[in-house]
Amino acid sequence: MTEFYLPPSPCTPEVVLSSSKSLLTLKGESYPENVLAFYASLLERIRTLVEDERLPRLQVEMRITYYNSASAKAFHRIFQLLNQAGERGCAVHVLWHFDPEDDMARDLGNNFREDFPALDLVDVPLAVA
Amino acid sequence: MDATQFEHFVANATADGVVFYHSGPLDQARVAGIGGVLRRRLREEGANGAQARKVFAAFMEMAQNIVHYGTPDPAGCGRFGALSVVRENPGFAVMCGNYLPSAHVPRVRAWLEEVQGMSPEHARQAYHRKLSSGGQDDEYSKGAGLGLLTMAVNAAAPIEFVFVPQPPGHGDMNFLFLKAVI
Repeated sequence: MTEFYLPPSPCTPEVVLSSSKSLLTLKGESYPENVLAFYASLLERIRTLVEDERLPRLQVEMRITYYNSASAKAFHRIFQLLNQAGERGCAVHVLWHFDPEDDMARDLGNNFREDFPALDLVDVPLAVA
Repeated sequence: MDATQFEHFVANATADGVVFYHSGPLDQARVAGIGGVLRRRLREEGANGAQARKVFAAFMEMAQNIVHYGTPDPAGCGRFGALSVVRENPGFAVMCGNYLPSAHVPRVRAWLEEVQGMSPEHARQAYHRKLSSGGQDDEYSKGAGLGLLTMAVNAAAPIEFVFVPQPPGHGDMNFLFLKAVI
């Protein structure tokens, strides 16, 4: 069983990965000093979850208010892994939250949808405050 | 600098629309702190949501480039770099400067010229291609490929740059300045 939690910091998101809840959430800002190091442990645990535990379904919630370009690469690697799981039969549903004024975040969701057809990625434009 | 000189400095900065300026060592903790200050300053300056987001994004890519690839500060306080946000109606200019070994100049210049020649739409497509290729880094640094493209997508005009060769005695260095208009 994988139960993984990282609390939020000013430049890293809150991360929840839970096999009991079939849930992955990333919430907050993402511009860690070393993006690869920050996301390495999460990637490894996602790999365990979808390859070793063979989770039948996973609900993913991305609520990132700001991400730097290196984080976009990290997200790409996460979705690559989830897409492979999807190809093996795991039902992966992704809620892609973004500010409707944020064209790059909207585009990034479209890029991921195009690159990873085994994911069910749904846009969720956030209500403007 | 005496008080009168400082008065001129402040008056010039105000007249030039300087919203934020930093020159000196930079590390991740400072970048995170400055990010918070910058967001508040942009609100005070009346930046709309999309403007503030784009200025912040360009600023962060520049700041992180300095933190990762700038010249180490002799006092061990991170990397040396200059960062500024200036009011340039109807938007803002985001600028940075950092040392770069002269040997890297031709490669960096070629990449900057390539991005400079892209329309925002081309930059958007290049961003997607680079992301989808797994982000293989063929530029001067690990993240600068996507970082510069992020600026180009958000910018209202082509990215400006200038290389300034440094006098001998500081290693064989150039100082690279970048400007993105949002």
